[in-house]
Amino acid sequence: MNEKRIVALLKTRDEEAFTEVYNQYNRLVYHIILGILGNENDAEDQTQETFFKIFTKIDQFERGQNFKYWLLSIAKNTALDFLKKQTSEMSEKLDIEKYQDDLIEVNNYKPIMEEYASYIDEEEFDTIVLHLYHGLSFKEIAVLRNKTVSSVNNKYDRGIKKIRKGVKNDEQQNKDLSNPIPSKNAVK
Amino acid sequence: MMNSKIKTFLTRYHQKMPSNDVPFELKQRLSFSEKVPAKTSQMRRPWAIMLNTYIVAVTTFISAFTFWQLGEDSLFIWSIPSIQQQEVIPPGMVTYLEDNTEAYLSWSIFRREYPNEAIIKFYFGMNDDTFYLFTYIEPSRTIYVRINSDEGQFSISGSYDEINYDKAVVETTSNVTVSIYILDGDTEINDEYIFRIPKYLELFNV
Repeated sequence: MNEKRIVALLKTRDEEAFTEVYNQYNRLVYHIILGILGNENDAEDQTQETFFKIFTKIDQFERGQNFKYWLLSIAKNTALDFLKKQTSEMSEKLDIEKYQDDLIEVNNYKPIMEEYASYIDEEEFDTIVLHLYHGLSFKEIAVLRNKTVSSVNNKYDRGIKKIRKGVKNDEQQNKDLSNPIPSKNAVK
Repeated sequence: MMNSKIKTFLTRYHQKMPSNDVPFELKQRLSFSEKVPAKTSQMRRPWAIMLNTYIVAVTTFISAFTFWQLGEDSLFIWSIPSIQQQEVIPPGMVTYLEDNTEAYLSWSIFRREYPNEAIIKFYFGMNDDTFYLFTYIEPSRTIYVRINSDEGQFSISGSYDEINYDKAVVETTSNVTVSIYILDGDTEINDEYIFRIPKYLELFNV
C-alpha cells in the first residue's frame, strides 16, 4: 500500500491501515523516543501516545507533506512534552527549555546498548541502527538529528569499524575461555 | 554484503525492540468501529450542507460550460457533481499510461446511522496505485456502476441495504469509461455521470 493510500484510509479510521502504519513505524518511533527519554517503560508508553495522536490528528496531515517526517515530529514532540511535564514536576526553578535542548543533543540509549557501550558511543549506535535497521538514508538521519550528511557518514563508518573490531575481540575472548588449556605446540 | 559481525549486532538490537503487535490498550483507546470518510464530518452541519450544495452547483456549471466550450475531451472527473471534489486526484499528476495496464474499479458501501445514509467509495486503480472518490446513497436507492472498454462491458451494483464490496478488473487497451447512475426503484433520479480514464493519462504516480 503506498503512502497516499494509507493516509487516505487513515482518514476514514481504517484499522488495517493503522495496523500497517504501526507495524512499519513503531520500532522507529520507539527508538526516537527512547533516545530522548532514556527509559524503556516511558518510551513504550509515549510510543503508544504517539500512535494515538497520529490516528486522532491525521486530518491535520496535509497533502504534500512527508508522512514519515510528520510522524517522527509527532513522536519527538510527544517525548519532549512528556519530558517537560516530568521536569516541571521535578523542579520549577529549572530552565526547562535549555534542559530540553541539552537532552536532545545527548542520545540516551543506555538501556539497550549496554553490551555495545565498550565498542561504540551512543551517536554511532544511533546512526548505525537508523541506517541499517530502520532504513533511513544518511540525508534523512542528518535532517532528523540536525547534523551534516558528512558527519553522519563519518559516525557510521567509525561505528562499523569499531563494532567489527569489538565483536571480533569478544569472539576471541570467548574462544580463549572455552579452551583454557594451551596446546602442546604452544608450550615451549 | 553485510558483515556477519554487523548482522550479530543488528540481531541483538532487534531482540531489544518492542513487538510489532498493536497493544491492546491502544486498540481500546482508538475507535475503529465508526468509519468516517475524510473531510466530511463537518458536512453534517446545515451551513456546510448549503455550502457544499453551492460548490456542487458552481462546479457543475463550470463543467458544463467547459464541456460546451471545449468539447467532449474536456469532460473528465470534474463532471461528477455529487462526488466530493477534494478526493479527486489533483491536476498536474498526469503522465503517459502504457498499454495493457491493469485498471480496476472496486467499491464498497458502508452505512451510517446518522444522517441515515450510506457512503459509497469507488476505488479506481492501475497496477498498485489507487485513488478513490465517494458519494452518498439514501435508503431504498440502488446504484449501478458500468464500465465500458474495448474488452467489453462490466457492471456492478448494490444498494443501501447491503454492505457491499465488489470489484471489476479491466485491461486497458483503450479509454475506459465508467458510468454511474442511481436509480430509485425503476426511476432514474440522477443524470448518468460519465467520466473517462483516458489512455494517455496516468492518474496515480507523481
